Amino acid sequence: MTGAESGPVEDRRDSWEGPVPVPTGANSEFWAATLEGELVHQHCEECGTAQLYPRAVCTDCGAVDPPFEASSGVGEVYTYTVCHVPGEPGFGDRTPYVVAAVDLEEGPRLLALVDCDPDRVEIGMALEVTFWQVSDEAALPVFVPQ
Amino acid sequence: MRDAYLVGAGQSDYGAFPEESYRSLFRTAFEAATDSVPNGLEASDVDEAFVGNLGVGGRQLGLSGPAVTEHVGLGGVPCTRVENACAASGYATRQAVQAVKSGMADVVLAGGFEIMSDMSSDATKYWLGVSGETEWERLSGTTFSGVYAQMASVHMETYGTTREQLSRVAVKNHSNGAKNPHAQLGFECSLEDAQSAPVVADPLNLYHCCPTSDGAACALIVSEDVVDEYTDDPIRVAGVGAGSDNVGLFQRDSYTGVPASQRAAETAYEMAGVEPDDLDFAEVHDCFAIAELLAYEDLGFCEKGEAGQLIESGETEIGGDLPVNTSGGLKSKGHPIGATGAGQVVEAFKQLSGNAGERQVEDPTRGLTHNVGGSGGASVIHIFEKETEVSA
Repeated sequence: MTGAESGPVEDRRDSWEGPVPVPTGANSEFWAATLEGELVHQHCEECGTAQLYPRAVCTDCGAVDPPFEASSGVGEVYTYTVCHVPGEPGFGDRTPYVVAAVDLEEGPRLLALVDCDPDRVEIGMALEVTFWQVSDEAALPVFVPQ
Repeated sequence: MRDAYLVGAGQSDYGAFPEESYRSLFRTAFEAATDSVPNGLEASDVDEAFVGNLGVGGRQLGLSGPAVTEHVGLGGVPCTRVENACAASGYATRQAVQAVKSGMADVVLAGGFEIMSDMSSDATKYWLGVSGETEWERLSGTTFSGVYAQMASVHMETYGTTREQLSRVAVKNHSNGAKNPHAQLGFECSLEDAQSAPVVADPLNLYHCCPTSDGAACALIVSEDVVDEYTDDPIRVAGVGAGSDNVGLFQRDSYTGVPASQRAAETAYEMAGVEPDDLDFAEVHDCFAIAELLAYEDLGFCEKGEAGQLIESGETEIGGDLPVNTSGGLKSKGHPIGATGAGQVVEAFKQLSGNAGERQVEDPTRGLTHNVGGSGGASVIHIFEKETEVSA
């Protein structure tokens, strides 16, 4: 991995009550990178497809175990919702909160929490990644307005 | 391949029933189904069963099919539990049709059930979340409503669909559900009610979301070799189509349509040799108001982007060109996940046999059911057709 721009990693291990990622298989490298403040994605060496979430194969050409590459962590809102009724525990005291489909500069789309005033979010808004460390093994990518 | 026929279908009430169990609800649905067969059908006639169930709450996750079929006297026949989230019993119906068409069985039960009302709100949300992309969607904090809200958001941005048009779906379906004695929310609502309800996941408000429900439904599918024993007015399964897709919405190219439904529709129309214009009614999967509008476009009831105008035109109301969700749909009739697809077949059977009461469509010959799992990870469509010429 080269050219990584690190995002800040905030330690929320003591207070987080929400879902916690379980690094396994193809995901392990993705979650390990989040602890260093890096958002990575798979970039197929055969056909150039960039993808998230990490999979065993390239979604376009089927090449096995496409390698990871660092993302700039910068993207824009493809679409979003403002949740007034929370998801699982961990989000309950955040309502209303923004969840957006974020199109990264490198192409892949990620669904993520956006930490901003719900009145501020709009389609096309530029975002950058930060991380909330929620376990010893993983930090959640959370986006903020750029 | 042999032809398959729908000779009976019935359901329990949908709602919250602390005094009922999944077995008692399934028994009600099974007896309603056998009672609806014009010339009668006994439990001992059934060769095989497919039972849809998500397993909300984790109760009887293993062998949940035989657990209900043994209760109604089908002990011994092959029984398969079918899981495809909210499309579970739509797929169970498809399995029944396949079993009949293949020649392996003559009389097959397609059913489904779910109990959802005996858990906390947080637990219910957890169990709805298991049909999303559990690893990547749930980490973002989105709810199931939030996923459909994103589809609504893109449809509104792209085609100018309005919140009022979404609310009109609720008004129509509540108006129909008020005429259905099995409906969970069998009351009418005004456009004002449906527009002023609290926001759940913007742009969707409470009236844009279906309830969670307890309930069961059963349909009986038989082969052309035995259909005459059960009815003089056969209803043929004219078309079947199904499709799957990425489970996570964010993994799909399209937010303004459900590709799995488009594929299912294409297959079903082709098998039936009909077009959307040939339909007299349709039961579509309106878990959220936007889902009904997407279905209008995915199933070819209107052009892409024009679903908002179609609901506004009134043509999908009872009495319109193509009544949609005469049962009240998931919105008003209710949505006991594993039972929903078979429950749609119940409405198709009632309409085609002229037993839909106050909500009866005038003399229909052909109807479609459309059942979606998750946000579109699975979709299944059936087209049912009265064989008027054959019986004449």
